[in-house]
This record gives sequence, C-alpha cells and structure tokens, in this order.
Amino acid sequence: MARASSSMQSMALPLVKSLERREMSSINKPRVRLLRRGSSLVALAALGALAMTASAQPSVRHSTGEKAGVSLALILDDLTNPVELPLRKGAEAAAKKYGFSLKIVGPSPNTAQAQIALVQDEVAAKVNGIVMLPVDSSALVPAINAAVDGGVPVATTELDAPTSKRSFFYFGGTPPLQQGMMQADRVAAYEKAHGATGTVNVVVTSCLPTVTGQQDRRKGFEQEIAKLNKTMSFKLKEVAFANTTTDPAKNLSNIQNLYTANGSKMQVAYAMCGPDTQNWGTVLKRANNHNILVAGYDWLPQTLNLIGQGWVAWSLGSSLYDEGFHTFGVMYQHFANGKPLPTGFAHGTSTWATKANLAQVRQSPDVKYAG
Amino acid sequence: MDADLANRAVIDGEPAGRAHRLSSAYRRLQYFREGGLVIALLMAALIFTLINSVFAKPQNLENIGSQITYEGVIAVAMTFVIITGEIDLSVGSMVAVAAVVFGMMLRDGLPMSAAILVTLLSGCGLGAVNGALSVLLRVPTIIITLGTLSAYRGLADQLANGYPISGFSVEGWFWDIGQKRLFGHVPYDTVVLIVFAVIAGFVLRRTAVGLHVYAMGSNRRAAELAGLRVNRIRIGVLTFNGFASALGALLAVSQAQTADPNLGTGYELDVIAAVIIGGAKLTGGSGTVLASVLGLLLIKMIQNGLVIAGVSIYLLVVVSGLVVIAAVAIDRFFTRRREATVHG
Repeated sequence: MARASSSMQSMALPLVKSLERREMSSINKPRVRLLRRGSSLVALAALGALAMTASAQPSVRHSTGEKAGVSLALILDDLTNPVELPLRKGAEAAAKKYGFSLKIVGPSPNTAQAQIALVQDEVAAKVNGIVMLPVDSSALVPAINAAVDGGVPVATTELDAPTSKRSFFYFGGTPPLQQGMMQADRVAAYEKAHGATGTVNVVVTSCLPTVTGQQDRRKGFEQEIAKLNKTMSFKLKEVAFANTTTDPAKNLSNIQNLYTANGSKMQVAYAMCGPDTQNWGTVLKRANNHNILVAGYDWLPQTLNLIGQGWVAWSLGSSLYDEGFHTFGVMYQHFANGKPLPTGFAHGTSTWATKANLAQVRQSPDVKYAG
Repeated sequence: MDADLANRAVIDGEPAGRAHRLSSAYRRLQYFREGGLVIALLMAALIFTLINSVFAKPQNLENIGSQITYEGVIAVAMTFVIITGEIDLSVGSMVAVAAVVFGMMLRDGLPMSAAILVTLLSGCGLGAVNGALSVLLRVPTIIITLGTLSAYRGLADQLANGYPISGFSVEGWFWDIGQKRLFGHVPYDTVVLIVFAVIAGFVLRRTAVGLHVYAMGSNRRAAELAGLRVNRIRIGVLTFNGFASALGALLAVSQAQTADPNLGTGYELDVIAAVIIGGAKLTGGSGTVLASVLGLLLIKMIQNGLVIAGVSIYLLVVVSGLVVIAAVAIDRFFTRRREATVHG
C-alpha cells in the first residue's frame, strides 16, 4: 500500500506541472466525453427512475370494486410478512364479493411511527372505515382514537390495541395466549405417550420476540408448563430462548447454532414463528435427527412438506384468510346496511396441521393463497 | 514490504532458542498486516472453546464457514468500494432483488444456468445504477445508496408481492452448494467464497485495476490529474458490488432454499463493519480483501460463540458489540506497533 501511494505521487508530481499549463482543456475533455455519454447514462437513470416509480408505493394496492360508494382501508403491520398474504387475499375476496373499494397499505419500515402516519393519511383520504394490524398495541392507541373521534371506525385483526377505541378485534384462530397453552398440552401429551422420564428440555425460538402475539404464545406455553409440571411424572424445562430474526438465511444460521449448542440435550423445539418452524425441520432433516420434536406455527409450503416427511410433528395455523374476509364483511355490512358494528373480541379456532390431515390442510385458502 | 525484509535480517541475526523462536514468531505475526485480526480470532476461539467445547467441534466450525459466505462475498466487493472512499448502503436490498429475480426465473421454468446469469446481471445493473446516479448527479454514493436502499427493497417486495417465491424444485447441483460438503467437511459455498476472495484479492493487489482503486482512494485529485478516470472507477466498483450482492443472494437462497424478499435485511451493517474491523479507513485508500473476510469471520464467530455459550438474547447484542470493540482494539494495538517499528 505504501508502495502504491508513493508510486502514484511520484507519477503525479511531474504530470501536475505539465498539466497545469493545459489544465482547463485537459480537465474539460473528460467532462465533454461524459456529456457525450450522458445521453446513455440519462437513459439508464431514467429506466432506474421508472423502476423506482413503479415501486415507489409498494405499500399501496387497490382493488377494483364495482361500487365505489364504500371505501375501506387495510393497514398491515408488515408488508413483507409471508404469513399475512392470505389475509390480504381474504380482504380482496370480500371487496370483490360485496363491491367496495379496498386500499391495502403497510409501513416500511414496520415501525409504529410509520404506521401512525398511514392511519393519519387514510383518515385524511376520507376512507369510510379502517381495518388494521397494529404494530404496537400501545403506540397506535392515540392514532386509532383520533381516527374514531374523527368519524372513521377502526377494527383490528390478527393483532390488537385493546385499550384503544377500536370497534372490535377479530382473530381468525385461537388467541395467542391460548395457542401457547394448547402447544404445551400437546407437547406434554406427546412426551407422556412416548414414555418420557426425568427432564424434557425445550428450546424456544421466535423471529419477532418483541411482538405482543409472540410474547403471548410464549407466556401461555410457560404458564401451562408450570401447571403441568405439578402433576406429570416428568418435567418440561425451557433451557434456551432465542431471537432468530426474520431474514431467512440468518434465521437458518441462528437455528443451526442453537442446534449445535443444545442438540445433544434438547428433546423439544418450540418454534413460535413460521420461518422458525420451517428451519428447525430443515436443520433436523440435514442432521438426520428424529429425536427432537418440532412444535410449530403457520403453514408455509416448506413447513407442510416437512410435516409430510416427518421432520416437523405439527404446526398450529390460524385462518388469516378468514380474518381478512370476515372483518371486511362486517365493516361493509355496517356501511351498506346500517348494521351496528360489534364490540369487543371475537375469534375463530386454530387448526393443527399434521401428517394425518395434510391433504385437507393443503386445500384451505390459507395454503392455496400462500403460494 | 521493504521494512519487513529489513527486520527479518535483524530477527534472523538473533541467537536461536525456544524463547527467542516464540518471540521471533510473535514479531513476524506483528508485521503480517492481518496479524492482529488473526490473534483476535484465535483468542475468541480459545475463550469460546473453554466456555463450551462444542464450539471447536468440526461440525460447528463447518457451520461458521458456511454462515459467512453470503455476506463474505459482499464484504470482498465492499472492500473495493470503501478503498475508493465510497460507501454502498444498498447491498442488502440488492440481495433481496436478486433473490426474487432468481426465484421468478426458476418458477417460470428458465434453466438454472440462465437463471443464475440473469440474476448476476441484474445485480450488476443495480450497482451500475448506483454508480451512474452518483456520477451524473455529483452526489456522494452514500447519499444515493441511502435512497436506493429503500427503492430496491420496495422493488423486491413489488416483484414478489411481499411473499417468498415458491413453485420450483430444490433438487440439483445448485442447491447442493448450500447444503453439501466437499470431502464431507468443507461446505461448497465456503469454497465459492474462497475462490472469489482469492481472485478479487489478486486483482486488488497485483493488477493495474487494483492500483487505480487504491490511487483513487488515497488522493482523488492526484489520481484525476494523473489521468485516471475516477468516475469510471467509481461506477466500476459499484457495479462489482452489485455483482457480489447478487452472488451473495444466490448463496443465501441455496442455503435457505427460499427466494424471499426479506433476504438481505441488515447485511449492509455486517458487511461495512467487517471491512472497517479489517482495517480499511472510511476515508479510503487502505484495506485488503483478506482483512475484510477475517473481520466478517470474527463477527460471525463471536455471534456463534455467544449462542453456544448460552448468553441471554437480551445481553447477546450488548456483549457482541463489546467483544467486537475489544477485537478491534487488539488489531489496532498490533497495527500501531507495526507502524511504529516500520517508521522508526
């Protein structure tokens, strides 16, 4: 490096002296050439600008409703969460069936501040009603309240802001806290059926550990374990909890590392996210390890394949399609027919995907529209 | 290099003996410019092994080797960018676009080789756009790529409709790269990284192209007056960075077996940190490919070791940052000692 810079300096100095005499012309020549080539560069930049313009509002998608009378907005929490595509499809199906105008937006980045701005934008755009998935159950409360006070009713789905003035919250499955308890019960039943003794070690993973739904899943799981341990002949024990992240490659790396650290002593992987469930199955498949039970969530296509191959025992799924379809249906009926909006919390029932019912699960709209 | 030879004469002139041989080896390590990083890596490895011996097991080391590949190839190209005095913040987003383009090609039935070629070209195109905008608008690359970081991410989401691309087979030679090992132990993707890094390192240190890159970073004005086409160099290194981002995307897709618009999230921070830890200056003019790869290896080894040591996820980020600072301090200590000896 010292040789490189010293040689450049030794080259540059005599050149500088001669070039100073012709400095203006020698400096202008590259500029002239650049200008001549400018047209092609401008064309390139224009193409790039076009592409950027096309993607400038990736968060906005319109459904062509036959009647423009009722206008509703869906504000997502995260544009890139693959699990939520069926929810969007359900909303679009409702728009097509009932004939209202639907706008779908989402924050990028997926922060509370960005989502608050979207709520304010939709109120300013004078939509009739909003259905949203709050990124943060507390931070969005003022924005939701302002929208409701301004005459725009808000309903929540999949995620909630319970202390806000939202009309109702609909969850297309069992609430996350109960989901965690269901998972604990099923793990305990499995281990009992397989003659477990002593301590059964559980590793818990989440790709979004600060999200309320994930926290509830973990809380429900831990509370139920504590209750079950008082009566079972063996004990379930959480030996590690990790943030695996939503990036698929880093998620896989994190799970590989967790398996390296705990693989010889763990019997259960409780994967609270779709990507986690998929990657636990992948890691165990590569290691040819049938001794670890993977209890997971969501019905990503690869997860269903791994269930079929026996690497993931089960995956608990909610119907996000139903969340989109049902919630918007209720909203539309309120504006079109004057039906009062419900209040409080309503929910469907989550379903286990196992080897036994895989064919049926694959036919559901949640799997069909998941890609 | 001349200073190394001079000092070797002194070292060789000293009497033999175990203590002297160790001292001699230590002095040689100091003069090896990446010596500080190597020492930091060895110390970290030793500490993690003492905490949990599983760290040093071949399976874990092979995992680390595989885990650094997709960011490693990007760190190699980012070295060129930072040496020229520029920074590209859009690498993670370029990875996402390339991954989605690759998935779409496969889903639509394109042959694997053609899909790979189109993907690599798309990366080059994105990098070239960064360079062209920076030159045309006369705006520093860091500002341009601050914008394209969002624009390219949005493009990936738009192309993929926000969802991982599926509907293609994951059997074949390409998928073996991210899954299988040469001789049962060396991950194929690690081999790709090594070959890429060796070629890039040779170009940087032994060719006129590399000389021009260093010259531009050392003294841009002098380089211009010497007749170097600095704008062309800038576009060139950014195009190369785009190519490397696409290559990183292919390696990540091969491992994760999913073409997901979420790929690449946060890669720019890891990659830039690796290059800086490797000793490159943000103002340009210095840095090596080997040091950048070792810098990334250090970061990933620390993350791996902390997980294996069972550090709580809430402390993991804190400890990870502190350990990186300590590693950089060790490297800078040896660098200053070497420079003090060279310059007397």
